[in-house]
Amino acid sequence: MRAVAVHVGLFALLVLASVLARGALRALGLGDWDRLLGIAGSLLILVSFAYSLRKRKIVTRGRPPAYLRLHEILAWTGSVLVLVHGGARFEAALPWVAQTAMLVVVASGLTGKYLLQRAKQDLAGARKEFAAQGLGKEEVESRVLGLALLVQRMTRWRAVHIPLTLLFGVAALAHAMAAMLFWRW
Amino acid sequence: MRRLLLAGSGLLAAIAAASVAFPHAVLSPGDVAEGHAAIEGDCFACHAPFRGPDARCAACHELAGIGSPGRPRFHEALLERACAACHTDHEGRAAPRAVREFRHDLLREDVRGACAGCHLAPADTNHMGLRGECAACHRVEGWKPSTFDHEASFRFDRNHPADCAACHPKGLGEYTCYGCHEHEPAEVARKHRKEGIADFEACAECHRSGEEDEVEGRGEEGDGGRGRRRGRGEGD
Repeated sequence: MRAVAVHVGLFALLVLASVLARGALRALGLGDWDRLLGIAGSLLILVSFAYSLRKRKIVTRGRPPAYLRLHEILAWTGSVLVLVHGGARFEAALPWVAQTAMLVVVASGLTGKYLLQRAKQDLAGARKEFAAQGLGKEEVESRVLGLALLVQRMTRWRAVHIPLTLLFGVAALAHAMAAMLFWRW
Repeated sequence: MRRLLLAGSGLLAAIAAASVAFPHAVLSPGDVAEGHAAIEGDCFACHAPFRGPDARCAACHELAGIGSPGRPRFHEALLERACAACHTDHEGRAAPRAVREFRHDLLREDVRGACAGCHLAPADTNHMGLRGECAACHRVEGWKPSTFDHEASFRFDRNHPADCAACHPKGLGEYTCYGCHEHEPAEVARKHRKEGIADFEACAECHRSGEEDEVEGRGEEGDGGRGRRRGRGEGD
């Protein structure tokens, strides 16, 4: 229950932080920073995909858990900046779709984080249980290896998370292209 | 990975098609102003690709004609043509024309300093006789607060209090030291001629206060009557 509250809290904090930051920018007369924050946020999110490259072994240096942590932090921070950039405007469909998709992807990412955390707990619980049955270390590990729970959960989750991420990425790219086409750079 | 790329490309193509078919619904950040309503569906009537709207405003809006009736027209005197720095659109039919306040630093320097080109001279007694010296007291950021360092011209004292009309009977643009018993024209002339000073009409140029010994010289001896002065604190 606590873990669920933490992850819901992280999502709520994302929205709250962006509302406060947007209000602060307006109060300081820095409303023009919106566009820059959109670019900065998108870049942070883009850099966070280094995790996917590491996972697919396109990048081979560094520990995957460190990349995952980086992915979580950069994607969350980048999303705050993008939300500050977009605000609650719904006039044009494209940026609205991109922003909504981003929020859904963040929610999905936090769900994945929660599932991973739970799966790890289940794994640790199974290890403990097998050990309590008096099995040797090697036997415990061989039984745990057969535990498909973690793999199953994460595979199902990825089947949702990756298409949503694709939708967000393509909508954001199209929005950026439209902005470049219509605005002066 | 290949499937992802394929799906992404398909999605991008679908968005592009929707943008062409329904540009207003897909891309427009809001309704354009009433004056632009007739061209709302033609994005490129205002937006030059990759150069934004600034490049095309002047195609319809002649710079010399921009401005409200009875207000100064200054758009021709702007340093650069960056219309979107002050104006915007897509904020609704009845949105205000300008979203930022006018700033003098957007004007060319020669126009910026020529206040009377846009502003009427104040008709109050404080400004009578003043011509083109606005910056001595006022800043372009606003008419108020205004400042004037009187001590840079003349320092008040017990015998010379801040009684404007005593020295500025015709307005603050000019002054006279004559008119009180200490400064009768004949007596002033006599004293200066005795010292060999022929040009003594602009009193405050040398006398910055009522102190008799405080006389600031502007030249050397033999400079046509202006040389016999001594600087403040230079001794007797």
